Amino acid sequence: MSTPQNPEPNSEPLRRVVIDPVTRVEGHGKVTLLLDENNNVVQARLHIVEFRGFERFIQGRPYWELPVLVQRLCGICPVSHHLAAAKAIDQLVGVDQLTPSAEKLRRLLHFGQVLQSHALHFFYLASPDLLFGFSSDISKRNILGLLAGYPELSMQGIKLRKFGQEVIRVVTGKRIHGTGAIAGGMNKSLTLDEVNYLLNDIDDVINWSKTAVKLATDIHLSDATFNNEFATIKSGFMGLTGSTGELELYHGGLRGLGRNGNSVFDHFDYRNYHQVIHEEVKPWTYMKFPFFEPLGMDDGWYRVGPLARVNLCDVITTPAAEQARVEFKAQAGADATGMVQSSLAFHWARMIEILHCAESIKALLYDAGLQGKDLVVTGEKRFEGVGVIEAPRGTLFHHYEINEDDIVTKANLIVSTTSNNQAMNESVRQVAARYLDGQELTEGLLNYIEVAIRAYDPCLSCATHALGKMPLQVELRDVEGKLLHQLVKNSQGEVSG
Amino acid sequence: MAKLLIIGYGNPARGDDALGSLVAEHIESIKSLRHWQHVDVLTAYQLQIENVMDVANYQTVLFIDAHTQCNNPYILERCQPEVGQSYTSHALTPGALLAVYQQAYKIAPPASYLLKIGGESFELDQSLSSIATHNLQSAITFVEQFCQRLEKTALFNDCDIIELTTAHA
Repeated sequence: MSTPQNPEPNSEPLRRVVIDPVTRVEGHGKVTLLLDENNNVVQARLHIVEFRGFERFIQGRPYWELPVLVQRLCGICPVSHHLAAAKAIDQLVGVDQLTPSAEKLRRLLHFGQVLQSHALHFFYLASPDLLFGFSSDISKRNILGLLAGYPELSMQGIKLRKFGQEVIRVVTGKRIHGTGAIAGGMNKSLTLDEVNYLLNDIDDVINWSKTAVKLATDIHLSDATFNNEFATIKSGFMGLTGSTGELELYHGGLRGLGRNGNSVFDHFDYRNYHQVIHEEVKPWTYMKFPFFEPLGMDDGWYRVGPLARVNLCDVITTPAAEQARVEFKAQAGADATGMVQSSLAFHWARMIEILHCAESIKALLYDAGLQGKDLVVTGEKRFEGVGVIEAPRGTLFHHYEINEDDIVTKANLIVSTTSNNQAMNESVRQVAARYLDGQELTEGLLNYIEVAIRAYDPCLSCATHALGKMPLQVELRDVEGKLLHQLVKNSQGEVSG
Repeated sequence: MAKLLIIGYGNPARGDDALGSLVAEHIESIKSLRHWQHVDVLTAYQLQIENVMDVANYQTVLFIDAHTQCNNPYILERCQPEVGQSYTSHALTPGALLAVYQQAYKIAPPASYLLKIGGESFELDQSLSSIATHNLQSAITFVEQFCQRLEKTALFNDCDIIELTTAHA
């Protein structure tokens, strides 16, 4: 049995950490670092105030409202919730297999969503840190600084984002609250004009994506020793794969790998997810801690999202992205088990996925199935449905039960940020243990903690109802729970004690 | 005739946060009847960087959002590019969006205004509060007038704005 890397101290004072409320618009991250008697960082706690109203929001509603309703849970990735809900309600209407056209339309929609989400994170949130340096002038580390220093690259990021949004608009009919997916299929196909409209830009989109992969690769390899070590932890990974082990974002079986790369489950039917995933509750946070049940809480926590998916798949079905995956595995510091554990490699993996999405969108746009008219399948009613997709940030579960009147009586959602919860804590602990000097927090450490958290692209508007902005408060507490020091960085980047 | 883009934003499922979208959707529903060919409408959960591409080619942009600190049913403000606002967030303020526009295109952004509509309750799964329902009607009347006035003028000047705001305060 291994020793947990982020153990739970038993001292009573440490259980009394107050979780600050977040505001509607501008939430903040709060990190508490706990020292032992030798001033070693023994634990890090990232306090994300998860909004626990999802289930209440969904229960009591007729199931057919869900694909539209759940989009309102999150302003960042509404399409992910839309599709996960749609997959669940397919089962409620007795459908296990969509028509080819309906599935292609849903895949197109999903690729558009992942592409635009990854573009936002990499070009807008992460690249200022990566290009200017973690400790560079905060006033420059933003999209304005990026536009000034890297104008062409920045505009490519904005255009990638815009293209993804256009895919969503064309497939669903609207930018927000579109109604593309319905129970058992899709409510409309694409016209030839719509296909041609998207084809106009697709070659540029692929080229920009290739540029992004190269940039992410170059950044990582420019200081491989540091990037392979920074915030790096040894974790398990989970994600969907296809029947031959290929990268799958829309539909497949669950693959779980332990932290030594060992298979915990593979091609597992996600409708039975509760047999392999348990959710632990801890007293200091409302956010749950999922883990692989067969490995237990201490050994079974895992990561999801781009790093997990690119790590655990055997192949990517589009050529340029597959070539990038092979290079990633060879150059990103994979350990003896073949797993890349570097947290900063999330960015590289994210760009490989953006390229995969761009290539996949092009292939779909040349598929006449997008213009097909056979869009809906019906079946016999069931009372339980589980929908799972690979959202931009990782595996997303929607699980519903309904009654005779078609009303949702039970809902359970596991969002990606929840799955990465333990891993984010571990990464923060690793950074703090490495860079904390004595008993005083520094602005440099604060920056490093922020970069470590950001690598995961936590969706705070989903796991909480605050946004991804990161006003950050870091507290340092001794073994008695006494506050030794704290630093707060506001949304303008100003640091105060 | 000045082309006007209206962007109403907020999460429709969060009670009064729906105010911006509701006004925008109302204008969308009547603009054909009123023959307002100079008006385009967008709704969004929040402002994002790609919206800089949306506001290009318009002479005027009206952002509409719910606001918690409003003593009046609504407040109209002139928006300017603002450095240091919300650049590290998943969402942008109108001022930050205009600053990104300016930096991206190296030209001044369109004349832009933010209409803040008073709301008080922003929890998930709530309907509009009674005060927000009242403020919504006032704001709709104002925005209709805004669109009409812009039909007759190339650009607002400050006197136009004061007159318009005073007339509906």
